Amino acid sequence: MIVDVEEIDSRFLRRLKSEFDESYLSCFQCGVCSASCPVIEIEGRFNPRRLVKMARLGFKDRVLSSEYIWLCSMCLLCEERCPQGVRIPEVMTALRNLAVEEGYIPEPMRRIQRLLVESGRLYPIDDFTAEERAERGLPEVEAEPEFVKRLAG
Amino acid sequence: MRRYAFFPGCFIQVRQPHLEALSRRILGELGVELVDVEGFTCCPEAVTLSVDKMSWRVMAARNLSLAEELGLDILTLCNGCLYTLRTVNQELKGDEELRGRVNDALSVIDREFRGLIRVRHFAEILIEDLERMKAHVERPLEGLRIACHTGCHILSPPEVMGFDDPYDPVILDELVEALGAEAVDYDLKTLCCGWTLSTYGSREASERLLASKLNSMRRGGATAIAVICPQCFHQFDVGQASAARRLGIEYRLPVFYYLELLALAMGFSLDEVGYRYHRVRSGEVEEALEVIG
Repeated sequence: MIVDVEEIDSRFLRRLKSEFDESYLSCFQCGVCSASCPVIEIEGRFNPRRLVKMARLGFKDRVLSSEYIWLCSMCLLCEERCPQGVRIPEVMTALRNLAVEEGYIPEPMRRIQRLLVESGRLYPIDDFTAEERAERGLPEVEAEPEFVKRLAG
Repeated sequence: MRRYAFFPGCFIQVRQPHLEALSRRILGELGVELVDVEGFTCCPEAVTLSVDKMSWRVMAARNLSLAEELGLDILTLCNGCLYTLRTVNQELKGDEELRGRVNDALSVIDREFRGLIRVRHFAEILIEDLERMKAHVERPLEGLRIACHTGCHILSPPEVMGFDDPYDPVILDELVEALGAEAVDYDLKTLCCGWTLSTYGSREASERLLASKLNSMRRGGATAIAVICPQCFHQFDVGQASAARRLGIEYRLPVFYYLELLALAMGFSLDEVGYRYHRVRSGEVEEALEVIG
């Protein structure tokens, strides 16, 4: 990776420190996370070690616009193994939250968010399922929880 | 305590009502009283924290506050619900500043998180009182060779989840063996099922990950899979069918939600546990159960 100093945005680093425990930036690039990552096995371009490094350097735009921050499967294996105690999935979550703030949001996530705003449910309930639940004597499921709609909106 | 605020989770409620109905019945037979709580919403699932972690916390705290009002611990059927509710519960119990911010958001609906209860998963309740469960086993599942997949979100981080060793999980194996089945060992036991990846990352990548997992289970000699999470269940069932189609390999490893296995061991038939709703079925498993009778 070539480091172009003009890409560095020091405010980004400050922002990251407010998003999670500062110790999460103590990554020393040993690569255990990438070596443990099941996603790398199937998508070689995904690389948590590299993403943490880029974030650490303050490459705001490059990191936030990267489609790879969305590929972490949140299996938490890297977090388990990191010798520095860096919670990489939490770093990924912070990067995703900031990416959304900056308007970088992949289409599937956009759909999920729209679903929450419109119906208050990630898994909307249709008539067919509502009927099946009634037949099985299961309690009715609230179709459109208002609080969730408001919170997501 | 054997009385709980029941949190089935929205995935099981909407996608797998048969599992919810069976879980209620089986837990009831074991003497666990499940109280339905009006107003529980989505936990919410961890994908929502990708967009905005604070809303994730607020939504979870609202659910927790509903159970607090009843003075009941929450019982979940799902690793994801457990992860969200237990993580937020612990975070807010230990961080006054954060609790203040969350409670500010909750004040508009006159709710408050107070930190009075615990969040439990059904597998914890079962393992803590293994003898009580074993007393209900009428038909040991001899001949079933089962690969256990505990699932990521009940394992990590262990200092919060406290269920089992994330490097070498064995509790689910113990639960499976308590039913008389054989829990087989396999190399990729701690590998993720890939479900989350399929929801927003890449379905194709998720299926390749699943395929590695299924191959490893096959190498271990498994004829079926056991899970304790409805989303792992979905991935191993519907995901497996779809991966088999795309990759042209038939794995034929039916997955069972643990309470289905328990029901079978209690004498329920495959039909009664809802096996016909499974996408992946296998003659091998059906025959093994027929032999037991």
